[in-house]
Amino acid sequence: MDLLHNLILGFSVSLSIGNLLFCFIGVLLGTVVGVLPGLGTPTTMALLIPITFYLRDVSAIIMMAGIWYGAAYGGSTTSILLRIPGEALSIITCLDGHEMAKKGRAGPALGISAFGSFIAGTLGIVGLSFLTPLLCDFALDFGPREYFALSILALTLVSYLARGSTLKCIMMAVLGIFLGMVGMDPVNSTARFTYKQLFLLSGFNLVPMAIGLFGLSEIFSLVEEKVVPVTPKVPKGLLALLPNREDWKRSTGPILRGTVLGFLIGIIPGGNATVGSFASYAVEKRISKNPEKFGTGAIEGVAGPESSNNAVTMGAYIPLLGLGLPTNVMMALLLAVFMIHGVKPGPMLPIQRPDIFWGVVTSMYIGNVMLLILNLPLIPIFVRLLKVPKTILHPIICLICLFGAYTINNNPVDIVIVVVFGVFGYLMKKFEFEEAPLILGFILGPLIELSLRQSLIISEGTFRFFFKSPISSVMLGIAILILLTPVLVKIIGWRRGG
Amino acid sequence: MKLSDRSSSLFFLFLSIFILSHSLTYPFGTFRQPKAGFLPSIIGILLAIFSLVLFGSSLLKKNKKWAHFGGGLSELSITVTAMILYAVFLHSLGYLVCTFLMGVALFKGVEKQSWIITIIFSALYGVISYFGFKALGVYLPQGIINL
Repeated sequence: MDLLHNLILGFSVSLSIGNLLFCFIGVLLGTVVGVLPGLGTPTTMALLIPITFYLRDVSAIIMMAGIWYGAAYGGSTTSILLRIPGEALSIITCLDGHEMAKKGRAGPALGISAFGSFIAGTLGIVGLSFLTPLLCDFALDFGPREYFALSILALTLVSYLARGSTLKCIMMAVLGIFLGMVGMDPVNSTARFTYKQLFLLSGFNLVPMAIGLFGLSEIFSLVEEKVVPVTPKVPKGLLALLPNREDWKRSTGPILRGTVLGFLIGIIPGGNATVGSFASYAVEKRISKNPEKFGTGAIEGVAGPESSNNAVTMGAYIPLLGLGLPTNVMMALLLAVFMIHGVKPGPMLPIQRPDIFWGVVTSMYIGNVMLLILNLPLIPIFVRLLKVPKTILHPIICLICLFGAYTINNNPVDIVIVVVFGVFGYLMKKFEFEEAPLILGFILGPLIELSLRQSLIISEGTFRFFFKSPISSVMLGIAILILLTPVLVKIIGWRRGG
Repeated sequence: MKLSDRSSSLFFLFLSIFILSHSLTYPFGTFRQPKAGFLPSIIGILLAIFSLVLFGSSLLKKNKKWAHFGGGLSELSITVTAMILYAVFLHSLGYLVCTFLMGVALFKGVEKQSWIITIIFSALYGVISYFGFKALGVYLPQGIINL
């Protein structure tokens, strides 16, 4: 009854005209930011923080919260249509989403992405409302060794992303970890690989890297190969966006699995939407009866990751609202908005300010419905971009990518970084290396280093320490099992053959 | 494995030597007290091992296939050069001028559009995006045209 009472209170707050308007502005901005490559969510949130000074506390928080989960919705559009991820969390959608678009199935890819996001978002909010206390207890048990084990497990899963050589995939992940180490050492604050360059002190920024590796490298390939790309068939009207019965049959499992996986990753501090989408893709590929179809336009490769990244965004609110703990940069910016308005998120928030706690939670239900209503009609507008000749569109995409990178720090060096990673990504494609493991290695690198060094310091250099915790033992055990499976399968095959 | 794997493995091997040699300039510490050079050294060693494995496996295969490059390398060079110049001159020339010139380089130099289309689209993109970014509150370098 308490929950029902709280939900009624929350809806009475979130359904007021003013809060509905700010919720709409938040999710609309989020979608636009998600669609446009370069203009990232943190940049937009940071730019909007001064505006929140003039809003009521609950309205400001509802709007800022909407930007992030709105971006998770919109990020897939350009990934599917142009193979350019609007946000890092939609990188993996490029693989199968764009292949579906090339085969004239852009509509169902966009449709299942929107429906999957809606289902995952809604289930995520239900989880957020009901499971917060239990799941917070679980996440609180995580120490450095658990973070290390989780990161290793995530990187091991990446090896399953490889369409070609697993060895090359691992090499790219290792290179990604190295790139993540450029800048200040997380324990002793020693500058590493910076060569007295100020811009390297804070390390490489993920956004220019992702734009370069995924966006520009694709344009470079098209320019160099002089190949006229296959223009995806433009879905006409809303009906063309609806997945058919077969699509739903194939997508239901990935959507539900992606939701659960993403939600669990979201509540773990450090777990982010990019990892969630990668992990979901790896799981779907692993359990699929036709794993070879992944990367060639399998709808499961769109439904799972897109659901997962939305569920992660919902899960990530649990540590922030329940513990006052921001688990990523977007949550840190949202925490800043709380603090600006003199509100302290944490265990006391539902008691001291139930209007804010339940108002924000219920606004997410409303925001999700708005996103579904907003996204489906808007998709044909984005799809119309494809009718513009490529010779006009490519230079414009280049310019958006370049200036999008510039807006992060107002530093032209970020443009050079985009170009360097664009050329690197283009060359890696030529030599049949995948870009995705590099990005995941880069994201997890700092966490791996920090947790490994903290664990070694705590255990006084004993590696057995990692296997003394049930959580890290299980995660490392699974990782080792995954790594050894192909070798064991080969040995068994040779023995049987011999 | 292909001939291209041989060259890519050598690239990664040189990269690993670079990482390892520079990692050694930072304190390694001990397993009880790992320091700044600890993980970079391990990464360098791992990358070297993987590169050697890739190189070795490429020697075992008879396939001599090289990476395929198309015929548009000059267009690609123009694109990359224009982008680097865009970064270099963005602050001194300003957003509007640089974006217009970049548009000209891409529409005319790379995509071989007519001069009319080149100028119209470069100018349109520059002006529309200028006011779009301004509306979003994004800082735009003014350069020689101060609106």
